[in-house]
Amino acid sequence: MQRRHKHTAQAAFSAGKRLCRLAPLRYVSLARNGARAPAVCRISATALILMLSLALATPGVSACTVADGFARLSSPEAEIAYRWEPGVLKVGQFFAAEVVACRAPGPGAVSDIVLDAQMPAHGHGMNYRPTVTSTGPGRFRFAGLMLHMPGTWRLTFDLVQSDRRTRLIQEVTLGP
Amino acid sequence: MRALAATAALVALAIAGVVALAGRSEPPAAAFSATERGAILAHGPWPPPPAPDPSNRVSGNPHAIALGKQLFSDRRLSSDGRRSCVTCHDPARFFADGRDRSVGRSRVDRNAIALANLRLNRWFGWAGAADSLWGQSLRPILDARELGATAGLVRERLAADPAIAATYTDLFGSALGTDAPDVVLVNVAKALAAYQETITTGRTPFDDFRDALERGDREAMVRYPAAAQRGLKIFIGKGQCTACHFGPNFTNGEFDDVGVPYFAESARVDRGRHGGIAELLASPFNLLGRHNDDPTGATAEATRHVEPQHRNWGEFRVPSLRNVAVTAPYMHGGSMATLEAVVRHYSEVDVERLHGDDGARLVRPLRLSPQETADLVAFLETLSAPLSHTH
Repeated sequence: MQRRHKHTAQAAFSAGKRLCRLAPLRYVSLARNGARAPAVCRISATALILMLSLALATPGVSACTVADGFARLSSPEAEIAYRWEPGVLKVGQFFAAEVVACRAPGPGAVSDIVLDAQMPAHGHGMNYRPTVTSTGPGRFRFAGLMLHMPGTWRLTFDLVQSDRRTRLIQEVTLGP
Repeated sequence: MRALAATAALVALAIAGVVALAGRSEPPAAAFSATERGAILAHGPWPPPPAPDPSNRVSGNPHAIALGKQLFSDRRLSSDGRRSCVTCHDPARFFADGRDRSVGRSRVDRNAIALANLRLNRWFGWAGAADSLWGQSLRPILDARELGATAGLVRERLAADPAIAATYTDLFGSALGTDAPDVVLVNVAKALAAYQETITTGRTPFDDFRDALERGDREAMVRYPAAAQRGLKIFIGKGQCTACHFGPNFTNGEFDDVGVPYFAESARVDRGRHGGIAELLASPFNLLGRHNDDPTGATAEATRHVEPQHRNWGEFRVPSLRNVAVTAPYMHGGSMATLEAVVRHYSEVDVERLHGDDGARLVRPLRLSPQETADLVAFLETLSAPLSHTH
């Protein structure tokens, strides 16, 4: 049993090593003083610089690390992470939104996001114009949002990259 | 066992008889689905807990409330010494005046809104030209058609009253006679607001029904008139009234164009919300200004984000429906004398009259039958209750 386990562990280590070679990573064991421990791909400084350069050079891609509580919204072209403040939307109450551009199709970074809301059944939008502030590359905070009627609202997130706009749509239905 | 069966049969016959009799006189009471139940419960509970206004440092202060009550009927706030707030907001008429358009020093363009439950408002006046109750309270004092006074005149007259001057100093920590006129005007308005905040409407038959529905108390629910229950079903359903009139105060606190003519005179348009926003943003007394006592700025959020849009032309406030049956006439110009006329308006609304580019899809003729009209009015009549002053 013990041998079989050892054999399995060795096989796993070899497989991990092969996997790590797919990327410019070094596969190391975290074992200390002979104790068994998991092994990981450890990123060397050179590899890290290479990967970051690659990410920054890729058109329309921005970092998308977000805290807990963010929801994702995506299409084949783009993806955002967002969260409302307060977390639950209520009709007639102001709320704020944090939006992070995760993926966009065009060249260049997402320089702006336009967040708006419409009520398709009634043909009108919001009574208030939200203000937006940039909180980092591809990250925006919107304040002054309010959905003033019960029913279905269509929220649109327009990701702006130079002269290209990519729209993501989220529908929200509020009770009275 | 046989006796039990006989009793059950008798009870069943009795129920059938009652139902049959009820059926001859009027349609049965409404049954509500789970969705409808949720929509009904959203109109309560009532009353909401009192909350002071952070933009007014004397909100909730008993001395400010007493001063405000005194000033509310004080004719020294009018230029000619003949009028006061009470002229158009008569406590004996639920703080309205019963006229189509109010008359101060001259006739104004709009109907006097009944004053109650004002702490629940985001905007004040038919066009929302004020973003606080104190900001609204100083507008009639300065309006040449209403009380027609000036800040300087208010200071001069009130400073000559030692009792008022002493109370003012106690409340605001400065001297009425030496404060700048605009500061005195704002502080007078804050005392007036403190008083008006205490005017609230009591519990209505609808509130009792709503709470009984929440508890599942069928015995209490049947005390709510059948016609009102049917009207309530229309209100939350076919009538689409809850698109705007929702929540415990039966309003979304915003503005809309419902096809009511917006000509103040034959050749003069009342811009409604469009003009209200322009007036608000130009006012030194809005919540973005130095007179707002709220250090967090949270009370100014709506003002920070509002701006005129084309569709605001001809929009007027969505009024609360609490005490609607006792505060006729209706609409911003008092153009409809009865609740029946209001319901008929929505039943037969002329969409060509809608000015906004959205209204055509929100406001449509409801084509209510005479029975449905009567039921909707019966429901609206259950939203009335005596005023309850908390101070």
